[in-house]
Amino acid sequence: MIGNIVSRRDLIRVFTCLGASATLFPGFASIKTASGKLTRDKAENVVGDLTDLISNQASAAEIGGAYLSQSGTAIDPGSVANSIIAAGGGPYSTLGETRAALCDQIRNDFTHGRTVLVGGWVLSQTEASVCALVAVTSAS
Amino acid sequence: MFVDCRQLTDGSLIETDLCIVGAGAAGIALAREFAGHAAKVAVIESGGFEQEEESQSLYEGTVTGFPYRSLDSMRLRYFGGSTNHWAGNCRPLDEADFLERPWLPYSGWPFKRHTLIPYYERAQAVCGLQAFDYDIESWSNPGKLRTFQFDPGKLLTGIKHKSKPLRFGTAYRDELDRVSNLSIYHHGNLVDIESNDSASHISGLRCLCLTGTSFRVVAKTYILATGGIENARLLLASDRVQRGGLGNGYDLVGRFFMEHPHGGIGNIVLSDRFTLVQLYRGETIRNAFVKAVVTLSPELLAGEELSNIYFNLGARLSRSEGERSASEILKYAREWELPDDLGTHIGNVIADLDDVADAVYHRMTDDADPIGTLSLHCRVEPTPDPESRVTLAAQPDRLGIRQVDLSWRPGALALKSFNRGVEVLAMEVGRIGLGRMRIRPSGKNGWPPGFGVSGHHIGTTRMHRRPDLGVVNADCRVHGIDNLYIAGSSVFPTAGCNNPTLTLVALALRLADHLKKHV
Repeated sequence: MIGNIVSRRDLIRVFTCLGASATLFPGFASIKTASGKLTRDKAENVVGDLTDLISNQASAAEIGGAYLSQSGTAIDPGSVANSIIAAGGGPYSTLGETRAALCDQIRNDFTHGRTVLVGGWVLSQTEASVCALVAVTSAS
Repeated sequence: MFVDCRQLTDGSLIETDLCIVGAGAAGIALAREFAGHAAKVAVIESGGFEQEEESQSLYEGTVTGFPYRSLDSMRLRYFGGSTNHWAGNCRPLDEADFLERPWLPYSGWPFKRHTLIPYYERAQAVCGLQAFDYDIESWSNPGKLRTFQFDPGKLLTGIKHKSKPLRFGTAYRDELDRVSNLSIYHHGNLVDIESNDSASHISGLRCLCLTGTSFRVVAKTYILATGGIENARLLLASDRVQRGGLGNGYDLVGRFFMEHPHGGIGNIVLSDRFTLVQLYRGETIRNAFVKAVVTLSPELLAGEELSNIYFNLGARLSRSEGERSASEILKYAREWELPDDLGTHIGNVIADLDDVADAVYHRMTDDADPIGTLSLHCRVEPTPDPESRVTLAAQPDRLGIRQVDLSWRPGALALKSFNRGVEVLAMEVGRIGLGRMRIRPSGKNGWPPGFGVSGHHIGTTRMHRRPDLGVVNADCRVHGIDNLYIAGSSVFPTAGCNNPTLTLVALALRLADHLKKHV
C-alpha cells in the first residue's frame, strides 16, 4: 500500500540521485553513469530510461504514490516519460546525458516556479513526475 | 542615585528638568545620555530590581481578535524592563522599511534610514554589541563562511548581531547610580498625566506606589518610555482634560498596533550533509556573534508588492551511529582512556565506515559538521491597520487605571507576503541544489499551526509629520503638546521585520540629542 506521507528519509534517498547532488557536484553524476549506453527503443523503454536513474525505487514509489494520490489522476507512463524527455531536448544516447538533462529540467522547474507540494515537500514538477512513473511501473 | 518611592513622604513633590517614565531599553538609553548634563533628570520606574508579582500584575489585560499571549507575561515591569528577557537579536531596519510603499497602507517614516545611521552606530554599543557593520561582505568569505548562492533578485543573505544578551538593568545600574544629576525613583507608578486646560502642555505627573504612597513629579519636559502598549494606555487613561486621552485629538492613540508574526515554518533537508552553514548557524567573528539571515530582495518586495520578511536558519547536527561512536572513542582517547563499551563502539564504526570516513574527511578539510536539516523560522512585517488596536477595558488595575484590551491582527498582506516568501525560498533552495524544503501546512487562520508572535509591541503612538496621521512628530514629540515626548517602538510607523530593540535604542539616542538642545 502506498501511503501519502513522505518521510524525510524517503526524500533524501530520491532527490540526492536526481537534481541536488548533481548540481552540487556537477561531474559526479555523469562519471557514475556515462558508460550506461541506452539500448531500449520506443515508448515503454523511455520510461525505463528515466526510472533507471533512481537508485532507490521504493522511496521514489512512495513519493510518486503520494503525488498521484493527491492529484487524483491516472497517468500514461509512456506519454509522461516522452514529454519529460522531449522537454529536456531528448532523446539521449546515454544514461549520463539523460541524467544531466533531467537535472537541468529540475533546476528550470525551480527557477520558473513549476513546483508541487507532496506531503509538505516542495518538489519540482519533473521530479514528482519521475517518481510517479516509478510508482506506476513498480505497481504494475 | 536610586530612591525607593515607597519611602517618600505621602504627597511629596519631585521637581526636575526632565522626567523619563519607564526604565526599559529606551528609558535607560535616554537617561545615560544625560550623565553630566546640566539638566536634572528623574526616572520613574514602576518595579524594583527583580520581578515582583504585584508590579507585574499591573500589566494584566484582555486580548480579543487574533490569538495572543497573555499581556502580563510578555512584558517585564521592573528596572531594565523587557530587556530582562530579551533574546539579544539586533538588526537595523532595512532601507525600504522607511519608505512610503504604495501597496503598504500608512507606510513611510518622516525620515530615511541614513538619518538613523549615526544613532544606530551608537546604539550598537548600548546594546552590548561590536561595531555597527551589517554588510554581509564583511562577515562572509568563499571558504568556511560562505553564503548560499541565491538569485540576488529574489533572496539576499543579511547579517544580524546577537548581544549576550545585555540586561540593561543589570548592566547599567551601577553606572546610573553614580550619575549626580540623575535620580531613579523605583516602585513608583505614573497614574495620571496632568495638563493645562487646552491639553497643550503637561503640568505634572501624578504617581502612586502600590503601598498607597502618592507623589507628584513636575518637570519641564516629560518622556514616556513605558513600552509599546503602556505608552498608549497612559495617554488614553489621562483623559480628564482631553476627551479620549492626551494627544488623541485625531483618535490615533492605541491604533495601528503591530506585532511580528513569527514561528517555525518547516525545514530544509540538505542534499549534502556537509554543506557549509557556519554563518547561518551563527559564528563569533572578531568578537562579534553574528548570524546570517535570508531576506527577500528589495526588487522582489517592490515588484510583487509584499511586506518585509526574514528567514532564520538553525542547523541540527546529524551524526550516524558510527560517527557518534567514533566521536565517543575520540573523547575518551583525549584523556588517555577508553569507553567501557569500546567493543560496541568499534563495531558501530566498522559498520558505518563510509559515513565515518566522510565525516573525518570533512572535519580535516573544511571543518564542516554533518548537518541533516536546517530548521526554518520566519518573521513577517505586519500591516499598519487602524483597527488593530489597544483600547481601555472597563476593569481597572490595583491603582485605578483601566486595563488594556488588545485587539490585533497582522493583516492580509502579511499573510500573502509570508506565503510568497516561503514559496520563493523553497524554489531557490531547490534551484541551487541546497536541498528540498518541507513546509508546515496552513492552519485555520492561514498561518501554520503554532505560528506565534515575537513580543514586539509597535505603532500605538506612531510617528508622522501630520497630526492627523501620527501621534508624535519626527522628533517624537506628541503633536499638539509642547513638552511631552515618547520613546520606544510605539513610535514606529511601520514595523519592518527585524527585531526592534536596536532601532528603538537608536531613536532614544536621537531623541536625547534633540532634547539636549532644548532642555
